[in-house]
Amino acid sequence: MAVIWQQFLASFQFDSFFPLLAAVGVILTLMTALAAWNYIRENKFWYYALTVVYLLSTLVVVLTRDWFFFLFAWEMVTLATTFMLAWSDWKLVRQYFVIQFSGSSILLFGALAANAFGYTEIGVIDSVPLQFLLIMGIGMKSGLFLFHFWLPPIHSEAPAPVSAILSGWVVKLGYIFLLKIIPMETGNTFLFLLGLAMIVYAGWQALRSADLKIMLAYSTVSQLGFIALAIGTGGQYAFYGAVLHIIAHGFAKTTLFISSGIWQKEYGTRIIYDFKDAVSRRPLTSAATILSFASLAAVVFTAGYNSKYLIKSAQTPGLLTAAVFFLLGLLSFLYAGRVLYWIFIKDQDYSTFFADLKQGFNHYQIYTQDVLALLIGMLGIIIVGFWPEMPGEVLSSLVEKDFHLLTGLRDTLIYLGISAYLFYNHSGFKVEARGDLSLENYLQLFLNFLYGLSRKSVKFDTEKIFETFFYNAIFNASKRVHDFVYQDFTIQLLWIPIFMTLLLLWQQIYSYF
Amino acid sequence: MDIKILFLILVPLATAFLIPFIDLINAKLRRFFVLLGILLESYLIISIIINNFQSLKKGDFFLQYYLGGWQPPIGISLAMDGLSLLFAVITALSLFLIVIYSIGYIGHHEGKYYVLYFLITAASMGVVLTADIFNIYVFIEMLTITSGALIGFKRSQEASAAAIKYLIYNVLAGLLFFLGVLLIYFNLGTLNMADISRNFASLKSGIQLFISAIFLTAILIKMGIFPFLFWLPKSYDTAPSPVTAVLSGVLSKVYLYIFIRIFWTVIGFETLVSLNLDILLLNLALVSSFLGHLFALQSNNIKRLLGYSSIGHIGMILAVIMLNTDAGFYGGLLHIISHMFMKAGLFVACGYLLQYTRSHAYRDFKGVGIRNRSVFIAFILLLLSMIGMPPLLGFASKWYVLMAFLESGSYFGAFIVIFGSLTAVIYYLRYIAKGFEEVKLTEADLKEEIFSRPLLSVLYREKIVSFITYAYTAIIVGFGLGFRFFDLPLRMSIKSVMDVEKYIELVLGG
Repeated sequence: MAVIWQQFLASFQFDSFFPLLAAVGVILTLMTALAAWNYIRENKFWYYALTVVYLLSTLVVVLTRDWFFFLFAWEMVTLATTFMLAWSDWKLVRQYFVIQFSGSSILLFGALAANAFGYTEIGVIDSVPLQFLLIMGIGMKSGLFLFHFWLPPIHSEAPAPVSAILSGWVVKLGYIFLLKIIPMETGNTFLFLLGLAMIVYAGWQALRSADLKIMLAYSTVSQLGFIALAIGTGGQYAFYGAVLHIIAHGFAKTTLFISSGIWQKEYGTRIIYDFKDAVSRRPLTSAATILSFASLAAVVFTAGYNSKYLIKSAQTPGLLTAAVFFLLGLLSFLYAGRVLYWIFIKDQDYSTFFADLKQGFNHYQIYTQDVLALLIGMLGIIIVGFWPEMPGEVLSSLVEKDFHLLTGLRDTLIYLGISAYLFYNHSGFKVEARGDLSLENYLQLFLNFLYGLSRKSVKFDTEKIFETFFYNAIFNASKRVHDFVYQDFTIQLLWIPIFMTLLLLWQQIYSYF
Repeated sequence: MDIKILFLILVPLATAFLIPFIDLINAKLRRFFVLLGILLESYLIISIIINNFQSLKKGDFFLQYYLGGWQPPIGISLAMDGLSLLFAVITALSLFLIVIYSIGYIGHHEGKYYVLYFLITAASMGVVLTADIFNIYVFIEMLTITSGALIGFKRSQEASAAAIKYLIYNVLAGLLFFLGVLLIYFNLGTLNMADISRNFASLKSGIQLFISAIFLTAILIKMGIFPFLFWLPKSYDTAPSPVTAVLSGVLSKVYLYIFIRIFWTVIGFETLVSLNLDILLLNLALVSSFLGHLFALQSNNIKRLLGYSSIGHIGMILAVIMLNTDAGFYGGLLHIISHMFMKAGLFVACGYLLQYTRSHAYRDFKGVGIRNRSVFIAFILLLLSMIGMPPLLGFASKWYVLMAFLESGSYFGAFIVIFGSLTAVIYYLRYIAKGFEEVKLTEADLKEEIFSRPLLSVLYREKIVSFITYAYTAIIVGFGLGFRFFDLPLRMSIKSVMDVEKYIELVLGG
């Protein structure tokens, strides 16, 4: 035991970005813990016990260099967050558990392979196939493109503080791991392309959602795309950009999910079209929402601008890069701006604003803990916006970096013009709220597709799939083998002379091979 | 010379012979007498351990008794080294628990049952202790005949059929074993195992091969390795639960002991290697393990399922022993211990859980867990141990087995260990889920229930039965946490298996 403990302590690394990231993780967990104080009403003790487990194991995941402790701690993170979902629905617990553990199995395989090829500690891995395997391994956990299918349903259905934990930090752990293994000089082209696909696809989906939390979940995938793209690019500033984006997006998304919980309590709905008189009812929450969305949309003087600027500046300069990144920025701006447009501008009546504000009419009594959580989040976004080098030595070279704030301001204004034009002419991209966003429906659709290849569409009972189809397949297959081997009692007895003859003639048989 | 090891055989034998006379006096006295016999047996083992504790620690433990005072090459002798002691202790412990269970479980024809049971006890002790190969044959026959009678103990049609099939297989195997003993005697002129071992290499290669092949066939039939595995689940299914616990928990381990004794001490592993049989046997055992787990998937009967999983585990143990490394023996012997307690505990729990059901079929398992919640939880714990859940004993032993396979580069074996655990999850989970399903009785069900069951079987003493189940679970959980406890006995027995020269010297020169 003592040996394991010493090994455990010796496996920590306190260099590079990781202590900074760990500190941010602690602050984000503190925010969610504050927000959960009034959100979680039942079994509060167990919730906070799980939070403590989660916090300790994320620290291990971020800081350790040992494969075993890394995998173990990540499983602990998964388990803790899995059970946190129980405050919403046990169905989610089951689904999340299955998905995360199928992801872990690929990761475990990748880790074993890396170990077998001589990478006994987590460090830079030069072999491209191994990088590919490990990227696939974290894919399911961190929502890489095509593996992200579970993320919107689960993140939107979870309780608000748990969504904040999941979206704000748990999915980032995979990218922190990639920061450790992808070589800084070369990057990884596959990861770059995946990131590009994530930004575009999930950004488009976010633009097409009417539900605030689903929109936030899709925007998480889209912003994770920026991180993947940055790590895939390679180069010092791209990695700095990735680190900064992990931090910036962590603060923004945690604040947004916490405020989404407050909005939900205030209005009793998550559909953004129904939010009326938001500023007069909840001034502070409004400010937090606006600031965080501004950070997502990369408005100047917010955290998101700095990180995205760094990522952009690390690319090969040229007209194509400029155009592509302009369009990617526009997409982020559009989906962030659309929500603000619906909540604060469209169909809002500001004629009696000050009277309403004084009257202070609202449905939900905000608590000090919520206010504190929101304030910490806003503070984080502003601090990283104005002070991107942050404490410590790691990012100190950003002091000399010119962030081209004027160009950023110009771009922001152009985006604002384009999006204002688009929103006014297309009535704010109003779409119907989706009802089919759940994993059972996905499974149903997939099975219907498979079955529909040969027949008419049939309804599958997804709950009974294991018992009927899956188990029967196993049962029948092994029954066939059994019947093939077991013929008859007399034939069974014939095995005795056959076996003895085999043993006696074994040396002759053996010599043939 | 230590007469205690003779009494280890004599006490159960005498109990078996005295039970009918006790019946004549008073039938109620019988169960106290049975308890007395098994307690005396336990006392003997404990006193042997305590008296020789110093030599056990030093690692030079050896006891011997010459029957009739004749010295070894001529007379019959009993010998107890580290391996024998380990097997004697776990066999006696298992039999002790099961006899208490039987007091609660067997409600009819108790006299006959205990006679047969104590003959099994005496025979398994004899097999473990004897240093004479003909004696092993005698005790094997004793085991076969008594256990055959116990399999047919219910006297139903299936039970009789299973018992007859069991007897055909095992008597044929015994015959082959006898043939091997005869061949050895005609060629070497001795029956003492140490003496045979010293002279076996001088035989011609053809005769060596023939003797090895005959012994192998006989013992593989007895253990239920691949081509001969089908008698096993049948007999497990129809026998009463305590008998199945003995068959699976004790008898298969005793045959494993015979296998180790004969192929390491008597014939010598080098002979197998020079005949190229070791690789064949290793792969055969692994295939057998694979098939056992595969067939367990298709079983719709809980006791047959456990039988098939026994085949899987015994195949695995045999394979890991066939690696002939220290790590292999460590894992194999630890898994023998853990499988002995897990399987016996599972059958014991099954006996309690299936007391009211019509049959052992999957559909009758419905609602069992709701009716007997605490026993069912113990049952689940035992199942988890079979699967290899970390804090339990099954995990520790599987871990050592896996490590042994990986250490000697046998990746097929490592695959089989993992495969066994994974399939075990599938086939056990199904029964656990069924056990917690609620029973909704319809009119038709009720009629069938009433007409198909002649009389309600109620356990003779329910509390004892459930207590033994908890005891097995406690052993699994307790030793799962403290499996390092087995470190000393395991190292001791590995030393006595590997060091054949010392065994010969001790038996002949002592």
